Amino acid sequence: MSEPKVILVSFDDEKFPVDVQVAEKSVLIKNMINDLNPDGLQEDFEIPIPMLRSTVLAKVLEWCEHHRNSEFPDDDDDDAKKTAPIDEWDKNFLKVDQEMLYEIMQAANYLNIRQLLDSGCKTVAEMIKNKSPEELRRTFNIVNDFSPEEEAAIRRENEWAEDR
Amino acid sequence: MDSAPVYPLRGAKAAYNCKLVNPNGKLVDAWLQHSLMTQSARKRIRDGEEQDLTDDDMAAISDLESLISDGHIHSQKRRLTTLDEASIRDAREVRHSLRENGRDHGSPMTDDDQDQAQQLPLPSPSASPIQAGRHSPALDPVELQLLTVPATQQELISMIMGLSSYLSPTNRHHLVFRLLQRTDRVMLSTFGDLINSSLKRDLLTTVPAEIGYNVLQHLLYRALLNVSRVSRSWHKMVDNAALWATLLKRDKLVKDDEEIARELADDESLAPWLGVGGHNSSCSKMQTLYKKRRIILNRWMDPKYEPRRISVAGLGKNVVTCLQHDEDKIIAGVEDLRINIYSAKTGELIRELEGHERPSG
Repeated sequence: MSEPKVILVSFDDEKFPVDVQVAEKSVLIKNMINDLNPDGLQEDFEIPIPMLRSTVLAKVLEWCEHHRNSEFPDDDDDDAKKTAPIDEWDKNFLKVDQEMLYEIMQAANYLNIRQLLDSGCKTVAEMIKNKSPEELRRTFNIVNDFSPEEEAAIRRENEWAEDR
Repeated sequence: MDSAPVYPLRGAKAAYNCKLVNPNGKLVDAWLQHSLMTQSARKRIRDGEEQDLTDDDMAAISDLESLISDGHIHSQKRRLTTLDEASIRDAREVRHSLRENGRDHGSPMTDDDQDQAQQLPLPSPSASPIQAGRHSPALDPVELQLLTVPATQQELISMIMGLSSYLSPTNRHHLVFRLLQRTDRVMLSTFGDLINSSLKRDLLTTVPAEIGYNVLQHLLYRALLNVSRVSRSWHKMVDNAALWATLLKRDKLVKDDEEIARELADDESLAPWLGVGGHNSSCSKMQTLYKKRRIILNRWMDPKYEPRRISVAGLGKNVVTCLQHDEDKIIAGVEDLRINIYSAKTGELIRELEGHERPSG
């Protein structure tokens, strides 16, 4: 008999059967499995994830599948986590439209998949890097709601950091 | 040669959420669902003109409501078969005169009409008063739409748009998918651009705050200052003591929290930095501390930065044995038992203090 699977059910009722090892990339799901099956998983276990639509859940599970054997730096090692460049595979994986990126980050936050959330945050940071305020507004579709005076004041305040 | 298919989506399979669902579902059910939702709105707008819903219909609706919400699709009789010819003719005339009116005004269908046609199950709001006046039996709106043969491209599009509002949401997605399948790659690229740019969104302040800070922590201070110039909410996001404290440590500008606390407690040492490069600064002390440390570090690292050097007039061969200085003055104790005070700004000798004795022993 094959290993019992975890079956994740999206908001729109699509079922995603995955290996326990893959599902447990999510701390939320891992805790749920362990709490509800103290003696270990005996049979297929269905978990509804009503927060996520199927396309997003599929994407998140693709990440979990890819990283099923990945070793991540220790949780407490703050420095290693902060300075590590974004994983090359993750970088390509997260080349999606901004709505999808938004939903993946929300999902990673909700499911508690720290490394995926970190990759998402680094991706957004990459989008912010090396852009002028005006370019940032265009990139993220943001309206400039400063008054001209406020804007000038903040610009003066930041002058010290500008390239000489 | 370019072997890429002209219609790249032609062979594609509809993804889960734009699959065709329940292809045999009756249009009238979608219409009833639709009218249930818009009923109250319509009552307001078109007071007293609810001709298309008889009491029987209302009863049927309330019965249907539960069935529909349970997902059972209940087939309603279509009235087309029971209509007398007169009423069809009436309706045709209505549509016809409508079209004529439209032409008189120069455009067959204004934007306003289109909007309403999508919201209301009736083909066009102006049809009803006339219809009501003639007491013709109510047609269901799908039938009304189909009575007219569209003569222009514009009318055909209006009709398709009107009819597509009777599709369930999933099937409407499927319709769009089918249309996209017939779209060549050049247009798909155009749509792609349009879609992608309209999906742009604020990924910093609309996500939970802790995610936003996680993002900011990966940025350098210059990028952060640009972020603070984007909008009020982004400015607020950056103006956060914890964030700058993290940066101070990350960029190794301070050793530890203790050093930060010591610096913050010392208002006087921070005060001069508030004004550096700008004027009255509103930013937090933590950010000012970052600014101070960063500017000092930048000066050390900047090969072009010229430290100021002041030479003061020497006093013969006497050696300076002790030295103290602050912003304004330089105080030098000299071997010949004098203390000289110089201006730190100009190097000018301000005072000479005499009469000291050599320490004994």
